[in-house]
Amino acid sequence: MKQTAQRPVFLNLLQIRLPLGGVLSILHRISGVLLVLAIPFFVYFLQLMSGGESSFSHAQELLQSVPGKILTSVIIWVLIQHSISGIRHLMMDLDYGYNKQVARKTATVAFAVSLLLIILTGVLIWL
Amino acid sequence: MAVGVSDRGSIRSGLGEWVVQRLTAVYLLVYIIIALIYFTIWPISSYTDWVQLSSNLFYKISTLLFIFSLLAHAWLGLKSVFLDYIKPWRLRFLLQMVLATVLLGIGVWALLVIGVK
Repeated sequence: MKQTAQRPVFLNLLQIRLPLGGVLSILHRISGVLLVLAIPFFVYFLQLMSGGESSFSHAQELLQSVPGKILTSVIIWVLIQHSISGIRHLMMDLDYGYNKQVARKTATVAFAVSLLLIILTGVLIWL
Repeated sequence: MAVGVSDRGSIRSGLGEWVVQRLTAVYLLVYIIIALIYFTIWPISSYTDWVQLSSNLFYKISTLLFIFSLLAHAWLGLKSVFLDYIKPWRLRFLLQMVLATVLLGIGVWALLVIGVK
């Protein structure tokens, strides 16, 4: 245990140069933390929806308003990013894509899929 | 699961947490995909639609399970973020307790919103 305590630790986020998979991994973290902040909004929205007919239509109006749309799209985009990199991590847990070359490819694919879904949902929400 | 707190975090809780983090991830994904398909086929277009859906027992159970999975997933995720970036363990422990209280509070809130009615 004494030896493990002596190991060098380098976590300076401003100096670390990450490979693509590493960028994806840190994005997974950041998006995860952001999504925690979205939980109260989600429960509050459910409460509004369930608070009777006028409260329900108020919730609908909030969802259709510009600030509501901005908030929903940001949450959805962050959720897409987190889900796609999460699926990649789950695949790695099942021993798929652990090899360096494959990991690089899946990282690129994950970025591409996220971007595609982000554009698609953006179009669906705003157009 | 957590048996004690030291400067390296709780000791025996690793594997169980690893499994819970993955299982909740899978449930959250499956729930979101099914919800997307469901709302595409049967969109909520009126208050009666919503009342009908939200009073359904299966909806209530699966959605409460969703929220509790979400809270557990958030708890484990933030715990490992704290473990990496907050070195003084007393401060980390305090933050974890604050987080646990907030997340449990949200859980009770969701239980009141979805479960009771």
